[in-house]
Amino acid sequence: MHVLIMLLLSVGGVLDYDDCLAHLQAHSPASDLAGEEHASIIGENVRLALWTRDSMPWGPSVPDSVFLRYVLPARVSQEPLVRWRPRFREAVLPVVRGAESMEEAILLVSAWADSVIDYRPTQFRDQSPLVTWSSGIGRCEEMTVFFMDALRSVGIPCRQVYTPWWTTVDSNHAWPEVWTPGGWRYTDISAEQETLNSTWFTERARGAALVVAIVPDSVPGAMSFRGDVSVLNVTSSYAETGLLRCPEPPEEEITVSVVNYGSYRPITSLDSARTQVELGGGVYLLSWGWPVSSARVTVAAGDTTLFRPVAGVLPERCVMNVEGGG
Amino acid sequence: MIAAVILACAMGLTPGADAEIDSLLAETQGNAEMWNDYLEGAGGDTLECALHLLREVPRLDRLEMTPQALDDHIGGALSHRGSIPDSVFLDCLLWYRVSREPVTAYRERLALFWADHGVESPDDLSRWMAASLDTIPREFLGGMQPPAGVLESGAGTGAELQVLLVASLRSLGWPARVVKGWFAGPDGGERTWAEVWMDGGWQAVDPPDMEGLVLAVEESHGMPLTSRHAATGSLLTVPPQWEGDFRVSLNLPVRGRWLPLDWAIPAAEGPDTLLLGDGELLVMLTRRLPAGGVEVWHRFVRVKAGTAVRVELGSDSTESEAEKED
Repeated sequence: MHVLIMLLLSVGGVLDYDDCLAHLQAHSPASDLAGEEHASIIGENVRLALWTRDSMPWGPSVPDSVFLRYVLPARVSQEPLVRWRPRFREAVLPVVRGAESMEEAILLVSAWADSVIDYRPTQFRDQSPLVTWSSGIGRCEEMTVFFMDALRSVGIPCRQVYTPWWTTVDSNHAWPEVWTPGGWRYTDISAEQETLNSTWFTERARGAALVVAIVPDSVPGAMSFRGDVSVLNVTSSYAETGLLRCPEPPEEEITVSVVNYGSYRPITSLDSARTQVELGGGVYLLSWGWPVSSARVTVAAGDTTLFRPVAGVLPERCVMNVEGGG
Repeated sequence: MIAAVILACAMGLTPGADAEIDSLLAETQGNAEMWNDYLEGAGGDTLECALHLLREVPRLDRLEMTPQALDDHIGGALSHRGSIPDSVFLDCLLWYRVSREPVTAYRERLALFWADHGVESPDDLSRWMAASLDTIPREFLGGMQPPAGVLESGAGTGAELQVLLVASLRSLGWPARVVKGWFAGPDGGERTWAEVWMDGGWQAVDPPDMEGLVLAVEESHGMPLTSRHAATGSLLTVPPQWEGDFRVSLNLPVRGRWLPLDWAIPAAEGPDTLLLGDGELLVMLTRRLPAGGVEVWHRFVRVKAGTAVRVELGSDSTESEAEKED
């Protein structure tokens, strides 16, 4: 791992426009690359992303591989592809002027975002960051897109993370992680955030079952891949984790669920290709096969829990989502 | 003019309408001017249709709407007004949205395209699409293509192809809707299909095998349609003697897991009756415990066509009462 980081650091700062364009062409959804309007947005996106390397104080400290994956992308999630960089740069540049470190700049951008937009449930379809801005509202994923675009407009590397379902409340959440020279830290839009890695959901996240980061590139060691997008398991940054492992590759896919909104909601799965997963310590429902078999399994924090699928049925009564086992 | 009067009655235009429109426009910061200009320049049926859309479309659509899209959808729908009942016209012909696609003007373009290809019936359309368009996997990042984009690229995800089908039916003057069905069994799960209004009734276009159908609803408005597609029985739920906030859910056995029926949630506060297709369900009752964890009660219930089955939520009795329906 250290060798890898040194390799990455050693090649920092040599990327040019063509390298960046080639990276985006290889790692963007096909629909982002179709049509002249999109080509123009992507081209401008590359120029303005490269500008941050030369112009922001932290620009040179961002390694090339981090820049390509976490500063350069023109999109975060499923939002429409729009020309967001010029407007965000214009507004955010004055906000971070005078910041003495990347960390300070991140907290300033967070407070700025808090002054511009409010949380409100909207609709299933993701709105663009410009719509979030002009209407002043968004749900958590739309706020994350807005915040990440603001950070990227001034060259701060960031990625989206989310938990598919919380264990202690009926909902889920998405938020950004930011790259700093000291490693990845998490944040959220807030006027009162004093440090990174400390937000309104810190306590809730200690009981998280699973937290994943989304990277639009093939990252070795990813938990899973969705096309060219890597899903990284980052649960251990938030909760005490344990390993759930099938000692023999299971014949059928095993679904791992927690209770949320009154039903079993899948958070991940095990199969013959993926025989283990790191999860927050706690109680999970594992189910597989037809007729459906199931087992209530406790994953102990700091330990490995072995699981062999043996046909079983649901008990009439039980307690699920128990944090840390028990 | 007669049609305008009928529409005005159907939509319940009242003197209070102005205040409602003002509050919708206030919610549409960034695009209120477009709507105001459009409404001021419109009259008769066009105005009634524009008012209906302003009221009924999702907030993000109000923000993304353009005069071109309004002209295209209203003009296209009115040119096929004929003797279609008002509710079918408004919900399934004037209504332009199918799924999570962006707002675009598509009718004129699609109508010309299909006329060029000699399409004379919904089945012609469906056959042409199956023979000429490729199905591609969904990409994790990026939104849905607009219907015309699928024709241009010659390929779409399953969901994008369905958007194109329904948008095309509406462009050709056939009211159309999407129905979502939940199927039990080892190959079960959620499936959707299109239905078209012809000869005074609804007909499925290229429908799936209805074996195992437990629940069907019209997707945009949530109208239950199960009994149109399957022989149904009743599930009667009696609330539990539990203290505190609890949730009730119905869950469908499919391979490897129980699929939550989030569109058929029995009332928690009093007795409820739901009409469902023949099959076995997992009924769950859950509540969050003050000390952490979720208490869960499970009961498997068999719904049988033509009969009623009664479940006392949270009871210890393992027998569920079945009775003949009157």
